[in-house]
Formats: sequence, structure tokens, C-alpha cells
Amino acid sequence: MGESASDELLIQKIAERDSAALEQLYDRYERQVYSFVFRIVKDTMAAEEVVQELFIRVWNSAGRLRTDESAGKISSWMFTIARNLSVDWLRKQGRKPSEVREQGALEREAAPQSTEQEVEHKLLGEQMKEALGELNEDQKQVVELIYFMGYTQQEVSQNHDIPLGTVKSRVRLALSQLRKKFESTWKEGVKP
Amino acid sequence: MNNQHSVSCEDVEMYLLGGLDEEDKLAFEAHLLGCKECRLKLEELSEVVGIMPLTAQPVQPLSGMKARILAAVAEADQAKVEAMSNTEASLQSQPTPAVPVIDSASAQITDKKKTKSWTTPAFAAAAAALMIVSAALYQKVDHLNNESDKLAVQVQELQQQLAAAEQPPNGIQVNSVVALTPAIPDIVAQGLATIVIDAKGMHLIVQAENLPKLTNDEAFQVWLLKEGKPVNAGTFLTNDGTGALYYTFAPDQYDQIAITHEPDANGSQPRGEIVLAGKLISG
Repeated sequence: MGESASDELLIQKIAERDSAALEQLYDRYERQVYSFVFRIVKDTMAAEEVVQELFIRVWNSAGRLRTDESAGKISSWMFTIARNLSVDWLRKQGRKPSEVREQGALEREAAPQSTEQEVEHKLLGEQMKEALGELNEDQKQVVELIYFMGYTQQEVSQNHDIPLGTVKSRVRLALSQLRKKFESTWKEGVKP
Repeated sequence: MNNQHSVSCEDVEMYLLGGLDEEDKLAFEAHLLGCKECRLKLEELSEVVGIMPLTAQPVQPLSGMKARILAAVAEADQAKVEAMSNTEASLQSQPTPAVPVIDSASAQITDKKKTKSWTTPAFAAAAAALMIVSAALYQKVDHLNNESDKLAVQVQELQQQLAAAEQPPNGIQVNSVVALTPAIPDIVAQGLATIVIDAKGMHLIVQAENLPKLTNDEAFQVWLLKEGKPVNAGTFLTNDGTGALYYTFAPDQYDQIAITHEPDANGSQPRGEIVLAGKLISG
């Protein structure tokens, strides 16, 4: 199996219990998924546990994924599971995400990206960072609290004394602005 | 705030970003089945949200993570296969591998919305859109399996360890299972202590991994503690940081278990520092 096997092909092979395909998918996403999970849980061991659970689920549910109509969606699917597991972990800990101890953030700078896909994802990540940076402060705040810290809209509304309708509209505007930004990027030919 | 749990087309973004609570999420997923506009919007926006994880600062995982995770996947898989063949009846809630998540998910939701009727193309579109939300749905479907998965792993571990015994164990009952957590900051060791009871008495099974390296005559020693008084439960050495121990003892109410890093395997009292520890609560 070459480097270039698509995510969809790997998922199909995983569904046929091909452990080499799982390993390849793992290698492809280890760093991205781990970094993302760590961003949320801010705990080395917890991040590993979450990534482990993610790959157990990938292994067990690959057969139930429809890869025919979902080109390019495998990474989104994995990131969604990873985020849900991370938020579950935060909630199980019984600590508010904002109270996560920062000293646990043993951030070891990762080695430079190597594969073509990693480089591409790094570029997309940088573009997204830039796009997030262009949101106004209110929009940035709700995106951070909800997506990266795992709060629900009701919690954001209550904890930060923002009317629920305002929380909703900030999220809507933020995503609409991000989408516009990326639509123009994709027209230039870069797409995840 | 009385109207907290009503959802509408305006919630697509919040759903996608993960800001809906469980109740709203289920309500929105039901809404999604009947709303083509929302499905389209969801598909459009999911690409953008799918890029957000890539903004995380790159962090290097702990060394050996790949080996640990791939081994865990294999183990979970094996446990699943065994559990399925051994206790078929108790695992009827296990999702059948061949059935797409989408089908079971949509079936669940349509149960709640029996009044809705949709045509085949609408169903196809709903199925396509649900691919995106399958992660969330899968989590729910999978939630019930977690407990049985965990139990299956434990059962498998016990079976392996007891296979060496002369007589096949009969009627083994797990009394308590304790996760052992590091007592020193900055170490990644983890362990599991299981106490099982059979006709011969109580047996303690301890497994630990990622333990610090041993040098010279050093060994790890397991202690059962009763009101702070340690009782020697044996010593073990490690292979690549992994070690295990099996100890049979007369029934007693121990309240703690600890693993210490000892200068040698001959101590009758703890001399080294505690590496892993856990509270025992007998079941």
C-alpha cells in the first residue's frame, strides 16, 4: 500500500480488518489528532487515552462508515469523535474546562512536518488561524469557549452573562465569515 | 430560559460547533432528517469546521504512544471477538459491523418521528448528510457498549492469567478492580489491580506498564495496606517497563494497594518510593 492511499481506501481496508491500513491511518493523523486533543484536554496522559479510544472506535466502526458519498470527510469524522471524547473527558473530570491546570501543558514542540499531506494541513491550519484572527473579539470568544473548551451555548450564556440569542448569532456570524474566507481560498485550488 | 430546548434551522452552526446540549442535539438531529436546507448548510459548513482542529499547536506525543495504542486496539478487538462468541446473549446491543451507522441512527430517530414520511431521494440525502453527524450518533450507539467492552477486556485478562493454574478456575468472581495511578509527578506508569475470589481464596492480580527502568538488583514490590500497615504482596521485575504479579491471600479488608520501587526484592517493609497506588474498595 503506497503513501498515497486515500483516507477512504484506508477506511475500507480497516473495515476488512487490515491492521496495516489502520497503522497507516494512524501515522497519517497521529500528530494532528493528538495536538488537537491536547489543545482541549491539556493533559498528556488524557490526550493519549482519548487518541487510543478514537482509534479503537475507528477500528470497530470503519465498516459502518459510508465512504462512497463522503470523500474528504474521514478527517472531519475523526476530529469530531476526538473532540467529543475530549469534551467528555473534561466533563468526567468534573472540572470546568477553563480550570484545567496549565502546568499540565507539557508542550513539546513537534518535529517539522514531513509528508505532503501534513504540509498541506499545516497550511490550511495557518489559514484558519488567520481567519479566526479576523473574527471580532466577541465571535472569537464564543468559538473558543464552545469548540475548543467544550461549553454548551447555555453555559456560555450563563457564565458570561450573554443572552442566549446573542451567543447563537455570534456563532452563526463567525461560521459564515469563516466560510466566506475559505470559499475564496478553495476557488484557488487548495482544499482539504 | 424556558425555551432552552427548542431547535430550528438557526441551530445548524451551533450544532456543528458542538454547542448544543444532549437534548438539543437529539432534537436537532431529528429536525435535520426533515429539513433539506439544514442538511445542505451542514454539509457546506462542515468543511470549514473540519479545518479548525488543524489550528492546534503541534505537540509531540509521549514516546511509544503508537505501539501502545495499536496494541490496545488489537486487544479491544480480541476481547470483543471473544466476548461475542462467549456471551452472545448479553451482547445483543453490540452494533453489527455490517450495518451502516446511518441506518441504525436514522431508524432510532424515525421511531420518534413516526408521523414523518419521506421519499427515497430525501432518504438518500438525509443519509448523506448524516454521514457528517455519524460521529455524534455513533457515540450514542456506542455508549452502551463501553461498559461491556471494558468488562470483556477484564474477563480476557483474567482468563489469560489464570490459564497457567493447574486446575481450570470455576466460578471466578471479580471482587474489585482498581486503577493504579502514579504517585510521583511526571511519570507515565499506569496499572490495574484486580481481586478475584474463588474456592481457594482471594487472588490479587496486578499489572502495570510504563514503569521506570530498574537498575542492578532493583525490583518493584506490591503492598496491601490495612489502616496504613503494609503487607508484602510480592515483588516483580519488568520487561520493557511492563510487569505483573499474582498473589493469593487470606480474605482480609485491605484499604489500599501500592507499588514501590525497591533497591532489591528482599524487603519486608517498604524502603523505596511509591510509584503507583490505588484505593481498594471491596465489592
